[in-house]
Amino acid sequence: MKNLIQHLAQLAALEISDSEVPKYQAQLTDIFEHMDQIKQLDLAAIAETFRTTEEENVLRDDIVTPSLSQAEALQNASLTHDGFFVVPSVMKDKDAT
Amino acid sequence: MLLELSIDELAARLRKKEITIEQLVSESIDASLQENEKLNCYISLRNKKDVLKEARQKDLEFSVDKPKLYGIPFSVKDSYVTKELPTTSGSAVLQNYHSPYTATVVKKLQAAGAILIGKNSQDSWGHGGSSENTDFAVVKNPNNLKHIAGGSSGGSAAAVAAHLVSFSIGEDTGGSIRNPASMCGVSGLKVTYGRVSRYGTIAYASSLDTVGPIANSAADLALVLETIAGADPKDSSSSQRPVDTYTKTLTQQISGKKIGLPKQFFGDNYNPEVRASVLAAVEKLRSLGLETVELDMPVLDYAIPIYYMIAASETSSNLARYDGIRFGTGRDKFLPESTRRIMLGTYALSAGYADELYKNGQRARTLLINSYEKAFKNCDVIITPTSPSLAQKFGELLTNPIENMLADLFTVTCNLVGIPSIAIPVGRSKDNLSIGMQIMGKKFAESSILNIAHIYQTTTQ
Repeated sequence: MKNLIQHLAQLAALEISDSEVPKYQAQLTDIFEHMDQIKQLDLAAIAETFRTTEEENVLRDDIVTPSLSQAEALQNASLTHDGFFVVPSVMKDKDAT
Repeated sequence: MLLELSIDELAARLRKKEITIEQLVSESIDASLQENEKLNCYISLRNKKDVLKEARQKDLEFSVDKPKLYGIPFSVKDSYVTKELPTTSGSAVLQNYHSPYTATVVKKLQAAGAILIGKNSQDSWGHGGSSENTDFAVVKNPNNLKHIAGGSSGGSAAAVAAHLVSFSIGEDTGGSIRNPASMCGVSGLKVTYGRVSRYGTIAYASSLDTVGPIANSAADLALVLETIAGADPKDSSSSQRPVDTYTKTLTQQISGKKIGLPKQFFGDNYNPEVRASVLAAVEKLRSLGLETVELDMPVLDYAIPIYYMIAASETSSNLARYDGIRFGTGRDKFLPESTRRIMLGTYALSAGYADELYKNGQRARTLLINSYEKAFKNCDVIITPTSPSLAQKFGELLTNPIENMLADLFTVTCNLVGIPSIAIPVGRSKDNLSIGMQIMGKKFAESSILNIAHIYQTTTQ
């Protein structure tokens, strides 16, 4: 379970310190147990419902309409360069290792 | 106070030139600035000079043919993006976020002439029923400052209850409009999924999120809904159905209508004062000619696990976008309640578990929908309490995640099924805390539940 908490935190890109693990472990164990009640229902032949809207395939004509300017789209970014968002590098530099 | 009056009455006085928009807006901004010190119901308020300037301009342009909301002060939950003020969703993750565009619901209200005063406090990301899960000051209940205002739209309900604005726009994913409306003693409407555009709403759980008003009466809710409902090309989940004239059907005859009472929601496992007040209100409706029928809906016992399975899964996906690159700070700023929900959802969606957990949640949701469809064959509306408890003291829910989840017991099913529900006050406890009742309707039957709520409110006043 401790590993599961750390695994979930990693999957969700959340920072959870070692000292916080026991707290989340206890709370999530309680919640998972509560969720387990669903298993009491006979669901084998039941279809899933993903949405309750009546609308289907809502399409529009492919016409360009006014949108945000580049400056507006970038205005909340922590770091920009030449009109682009700057993102942390995901590939390691081949010389760095 | 002018803001204790109905929107209809304010609109009439403006037309008779007994009051001006400047007077009305001045009362709203002054009261908001003053009471916010005590209630913490706003995260941000507009500059007084700006709103008064807007009010004076509207006085100049006023004519009797303007919409009734023209010049009426309102606020919105901070989950709606606006160009005017920052938008935080109650979280430090969005500290200093300034949206480059405005949500459709706010645009529609502004186009009708309503004047935005400020943005209301909430549980961050809509995660909670107490408005305590926040990086800002915690909202206090105007009826009793030692108690929570409910949540997640706690600031909206408190601002309306304290008469700081005529109405506020909340957001309801599992009860977030109805729960605080109940705890603050005001009226709140959760609409049919898709009835109001969600463009510009910060998403919690996309198959459940709905936009709706909180106000002092069903009549005021009807007026606001008429303005904000309708299809929006920018929200593909918004319904193409024509919008009813909810204000015209408020006074329709209601005798002979059938109220369904699910026995699973009238047991003895929650606050007896709440149950007694709701049953007394049902009795009042019976005296007005409505009939009651008991419903047996066993799947309701599973409402909370089904809701949290789906809501947590969807929120873990929606909140994945907050990476601090295009906007916002970083993921280290999520509070424990949101961290738990993200981890729960990540678990339910993860490889090897998705079929057993998430998909079974969606299958159980189908059972719930079937159960409501069957129930509505025998009744026109379904009545339950809004919240199983009275407004708690601060900290009581925050320290107990399961208790916090169970607070949504009566409200979550409407979101899973997609039906509308109105929460109205029906009494006070011996400690002067508000008690609420909800009236659920069939899909797109907002006119029917507003009608019954209006007749109840006008005959019990």
